[in-house]
Amino acid sequence: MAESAYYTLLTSLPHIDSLFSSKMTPISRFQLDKRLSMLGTEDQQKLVAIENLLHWDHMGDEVDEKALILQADRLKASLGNQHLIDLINWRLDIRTVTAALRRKHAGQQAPSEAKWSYGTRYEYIRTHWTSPTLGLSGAFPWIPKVNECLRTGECVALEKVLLQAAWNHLTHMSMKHRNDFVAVVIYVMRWNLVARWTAYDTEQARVRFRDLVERSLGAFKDQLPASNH
Amino acid sequence: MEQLIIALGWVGVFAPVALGAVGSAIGCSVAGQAACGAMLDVESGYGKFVGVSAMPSSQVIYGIVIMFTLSGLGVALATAPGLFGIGLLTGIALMYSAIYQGQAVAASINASKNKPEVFGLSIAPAAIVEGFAVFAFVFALVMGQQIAG
Repeated sequence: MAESAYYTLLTSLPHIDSLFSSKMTPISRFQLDKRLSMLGTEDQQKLVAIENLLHWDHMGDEVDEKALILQADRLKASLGNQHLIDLINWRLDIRTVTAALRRKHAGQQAPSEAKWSYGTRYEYIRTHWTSPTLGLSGAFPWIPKVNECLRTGECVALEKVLLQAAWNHLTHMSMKHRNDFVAVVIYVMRWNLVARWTAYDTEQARVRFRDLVERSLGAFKDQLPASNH
Repeated sequence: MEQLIIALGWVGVFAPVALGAVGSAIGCSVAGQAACGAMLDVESGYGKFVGVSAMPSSQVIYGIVIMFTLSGLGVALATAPGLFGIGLLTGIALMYSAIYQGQAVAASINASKNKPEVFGLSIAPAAIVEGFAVFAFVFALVMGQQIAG
């Protein structure tokens, strides 16, 4: 698809104002997909592959980490656009850093496997495991906040810090990419952040949590006191 | 050699139109695509998007005027080098100004689609680019007269 051909698509997409003050996405997923159908076949395939890698909703409860790492490597090799690869790497780095901080908080040791995650920082993190900020406070200034949220157990605040970090970076990147495929990917990633934030539902979360607890307990469920059900 | 010099003179005469047309085609295409996209996202005000997307067409008009002016001087051995220099460089200036004006218009359409009250102001960058095309146009005519002299 010629670079100039992205103008129609990008101007047809409504502006995304803000993340946390949004009550709903500016465009439904159905309408967004209709607009994205303006993309060429190759771009559509790339976008689907990127979304499949970055969003785990379709994976169910069991996530095969090795398969994910392999999927990330394959995707990056097929993209052929350094700006896009950098963008994906940055998003994956957030995941790796967050996973490392959670592991550290849980008292785990540095991963023994060299390629224990994806992105570009996994090896660096492994060698700087003892540092409270994994030696990455310059690149990811939100790490101390994440540590604080993990320490105090504030899950919502932690989620907000991570979403805000991703939002800020994507907003910054959207200034650099106005009319190319990267701009389309950035828009979809921002849309997904808003969709994720606006879809948070306390009642649904409670039902999901109860479901997970029941499944984890399995046969032992009946042995618990009735008040704990 | 003389034939080559005369040929270059003709290149200079026609370059403003040809390159201006290339630039205007690209600029109007980019701005037009943005206008079409904006129409999918708004409920009214389509006319202003289509209207503003025609802004980069002015460069080819300037090119036509320059072509007639330069050709009126006559392509001869004495005038051909001057015609080539002025015509080709003016054509390049018109082409790039039309292309970038198209991008400025596309940005203007995108901004005013989301914030209709900034429509007038958002056209300012495109109007400034137009100013540079006018500079090239006016001074091509002025310099052309010096060739004749």
